[in-house]
Amino acid sequence: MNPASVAHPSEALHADDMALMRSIATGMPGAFEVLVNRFQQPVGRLAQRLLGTDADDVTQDVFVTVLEKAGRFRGECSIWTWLTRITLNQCRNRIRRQQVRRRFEQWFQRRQRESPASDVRAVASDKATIIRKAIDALPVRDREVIVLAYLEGRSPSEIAELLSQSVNSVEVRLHRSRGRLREILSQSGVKP
Amino acid sequence: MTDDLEELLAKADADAPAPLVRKDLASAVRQAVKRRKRNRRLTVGAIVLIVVGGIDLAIMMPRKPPTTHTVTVARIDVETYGKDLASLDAEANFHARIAAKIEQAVEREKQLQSAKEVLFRSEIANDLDDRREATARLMLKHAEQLDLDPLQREAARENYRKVLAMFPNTVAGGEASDRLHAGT
Repeated sequence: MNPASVAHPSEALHADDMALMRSIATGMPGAFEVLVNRFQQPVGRLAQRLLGTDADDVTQDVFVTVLEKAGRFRGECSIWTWLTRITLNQCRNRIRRQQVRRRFEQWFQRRQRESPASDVRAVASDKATIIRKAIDALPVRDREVIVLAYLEGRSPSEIAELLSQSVNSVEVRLHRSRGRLREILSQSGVKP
Repeated sequence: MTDDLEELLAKADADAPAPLVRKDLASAVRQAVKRRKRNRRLTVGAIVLIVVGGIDLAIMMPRKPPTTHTVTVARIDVETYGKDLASLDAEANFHARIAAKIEQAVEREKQLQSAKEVLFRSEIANDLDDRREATARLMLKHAEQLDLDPLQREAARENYRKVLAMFPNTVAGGEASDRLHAGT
């Protein structure tokens, strides 16, 4: 899965975005299926890059949101940009829930005096898994810019638009996130 | 980012399994949306029911009857009210009698005071009358002495007139009048 292979249907569909979303909002049969078929894979891939796991659930949640809020689409951006924003929000929510659950599990394990054998980082062996865990170890905002910039192939201006930030702050965050990722990978024994 | 890190990320990303493509995703999403809507409606309905039920319960809940307490008090009043009234009545009569006595005493005191004033005034008047009588008598005697002298009779008549004018209601004044009429 490299950035070049990621489908960016924004250019192809931009002219028809409003028409498609209006069709979905008015309940035209088959319109929603068209959207799902076109964007299921890129949405799922973005969710997987951001989360590593639970991508299928997030993908379904993204399209649930799309179906519920189709009438609010104003056509100020492409559908893909809109879907990316929704996916980012859903992933943030999922990460927050995971963090809460992880804290609770850690607290529960401490209560039961269990050894942290279940910590997946401890059993990570291959390089791909280590990199995945390193990305997961980044703060949410850092993870977003790394994934969007280097795995989704988005430019700093596109990332700035998606995250509602200035291009300058995106570039600064990208630089900082890269340093953090490098540090985490070095600690894990992988030297980029 | 160095090329090595970018390459490393791209390789790891390519090695990751492709996300699952579900053919039934659209229908699953529609069902999920229906479930959400139904759950929202149920939640809203439950909240409305709870609120309305709570209000109804609050309205219909039998309140602590204040009449029970009042009834108890009323029973006590029925028995004791007459006694209280009689006692209050007796007390009121007692106070009324005292008030009447005080009023009578005040009235008597007023009458006594006015009587004293009358007596006091009559004494002054008597004294004044006596003094007037005495003065008139002196003037009359002086006029009578002048009357004894034939040259002084006119002066004597003048003095009789003065006594009569100044002390008309005195005995001496009456005698002066007699002398004047007798002389004419």
